[in-house]
Amino acid sequence: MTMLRHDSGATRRRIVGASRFARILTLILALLALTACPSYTDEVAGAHRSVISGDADSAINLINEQLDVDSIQNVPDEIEKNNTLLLLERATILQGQGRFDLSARDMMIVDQRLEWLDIDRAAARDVGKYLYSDDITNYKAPPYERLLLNTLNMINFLATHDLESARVEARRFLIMESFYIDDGGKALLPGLLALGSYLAGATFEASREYDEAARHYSRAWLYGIRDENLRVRLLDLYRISGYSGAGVDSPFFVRLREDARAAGPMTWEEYRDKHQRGDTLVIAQFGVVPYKRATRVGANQALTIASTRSMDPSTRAQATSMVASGAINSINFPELTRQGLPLRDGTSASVRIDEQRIGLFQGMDVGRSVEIAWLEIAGPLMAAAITRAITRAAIGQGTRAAGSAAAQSDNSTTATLGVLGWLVGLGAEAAMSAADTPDTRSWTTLPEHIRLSRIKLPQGMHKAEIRVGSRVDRQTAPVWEDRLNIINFSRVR
Amino acid sequence: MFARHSHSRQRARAVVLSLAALSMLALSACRPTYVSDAEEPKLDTYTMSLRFDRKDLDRLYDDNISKMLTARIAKQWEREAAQGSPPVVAIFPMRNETSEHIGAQLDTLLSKFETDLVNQTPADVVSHENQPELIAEIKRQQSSAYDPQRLSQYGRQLGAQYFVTGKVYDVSERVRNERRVQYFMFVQVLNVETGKIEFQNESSLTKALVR
Repeated sequence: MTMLRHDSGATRRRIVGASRFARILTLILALLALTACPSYTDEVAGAHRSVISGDADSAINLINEQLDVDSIQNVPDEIEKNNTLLLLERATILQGQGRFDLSARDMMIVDQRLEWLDIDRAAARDVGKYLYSDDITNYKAPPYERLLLNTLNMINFLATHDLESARVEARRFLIMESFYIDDGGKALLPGLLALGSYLAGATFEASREYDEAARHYSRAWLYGIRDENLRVRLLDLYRISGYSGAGVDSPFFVRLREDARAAGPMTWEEYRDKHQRGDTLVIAQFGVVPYKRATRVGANQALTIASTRSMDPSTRAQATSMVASGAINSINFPELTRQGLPLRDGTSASVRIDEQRIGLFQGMDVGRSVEIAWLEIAGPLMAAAITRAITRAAIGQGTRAAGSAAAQSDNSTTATLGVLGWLVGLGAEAAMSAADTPDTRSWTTLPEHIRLSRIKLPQGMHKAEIRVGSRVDRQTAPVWEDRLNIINFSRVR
Repeated sequence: MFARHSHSRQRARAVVLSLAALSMLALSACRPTYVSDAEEPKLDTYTMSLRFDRKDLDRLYDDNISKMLTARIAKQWEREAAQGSPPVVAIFPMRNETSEHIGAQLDTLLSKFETDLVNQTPADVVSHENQPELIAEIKRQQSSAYDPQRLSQYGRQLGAQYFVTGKVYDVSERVRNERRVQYFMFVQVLNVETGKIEFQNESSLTKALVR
């Protein structure tokens, strides 16, 4: 009897202990699920909406909150995690507000940080994305973002007439362009290279380094900027500079060289009079690029997206088997979307200077670059997401299997523990799934289109206006006779 | 059985305590702290970027100033001073033709040169910091500011006969796991009237980000 009482007391203690253990474990799992960070898109949703509606001040305030800084004069103590991207978003909005010096400061910080991260990418961190979540890894900017960073910063320095720094950005652009081209250059669209080359040409031209200007303008033409003003500039640059378009053998350049020879030499003074007096570059940045959004993709569709190239055969076989058995039903994944964005194409913006409408030529279709870059990484991203799903399912299956076996035991204590184990297994899988935040990080405030115009204006103040859809942005722009003047519009999208 | 229970409870408590201690440690390790080179003597020895730091500037300064002060032009200045007409020397902004934003560091280097010119040569030195408009103009004009005609014009404005200036170029490359910047600095003393280079010295320095 004593023995029996002792046994039942021990059993009760075991059950109470097991229940306590299960409660603690469930609490930990619940905490794990709760501490699962919101995706980047969730974090910047408010600022993103403000940019779309043209409310730059609100967008800046929201980003400052995320960065944990009081004002645009401050930068965060640490440029870790999403702060790099947040600074980039803030820099884009500051540029739209005409705060070019602050925008340049933020972009320079980000540029240095991204360079470090590109080279840092330690293997240990990459392992994390196969176990936990893609956005646990440090942000690795795609080529179009790295190149646009230097391109947009060139605009900042040109707008503040800091030609030395603009030339630094032009050189940085060239270094990254060479690196990506040498690396295969798959995701590089000609429009991206054309815009950077055009602005680099303008930078060196304004610095009166005409050989360099001719070189960069030639590349801009080669990559697709077909503007009559550029053609005439190139012709005259060939006439005054020693640049012969070496390495550029297209019929256009052969003809241009012949035309330059036929037209005879031109002096620097003649060139300045013709092209650089009141030289004004109008930049219209409008629309908003597609962004990534967390979603759940059906398991079969997920296997299709994860290309064969991105998944090794054994993982694919394991995934297929788990999908067939129902162990994996869906995958957490970031999809590229245009939901909530204004509908814009290249012709959605018109610009007037002093009431006169001016023609815009194509600088770059940024949205297209985002889509191409996405197609490049969608397969490997999905492969990593599937690998994580397999890990989760395996853990859940293992724990539940052990629990089921124990639950069928004749021993009541073991059976109770088995049921609890089964529940914990289910909870573990759910918590890990919730913690798997799809990596929605990208430069979300970029314009979808960048278009350019090159005009000559008399020295003085000029009224400039952009109309994008039904929205209008106006500014009074100072123009100097002997400088390259920049009129940038990127506030209204 | 009770002993086993108490043992496992102790183990659990130890695990919880260890976790708490680790969390505290992790939290305290995350906070940035301000330090000075007096507290942390090794502070100046780390390389933190591809730009110039104090160590680089000291190296470039040492390499150039000793050569400048023993060059023919410095002896000429001594002779001119001995004859009662010390030359007027001005510092002219250095050109940054690199892929790094090092303009501020180059200004620092020139200020160090300025100090030695004042203290160790008989030349009368015109402070470039007192000429903000001229400096802004030079920075805006950039390359063309360095052509002899303009140099002469700026020299007259400053009342200077010589400019101490220079330029920095780089060979910058990026491969998958490395970014390397090879700097080449040319420090010059220019005759304002003739545009002649009276002194030139080349220094080089390489910085890289490697994995």
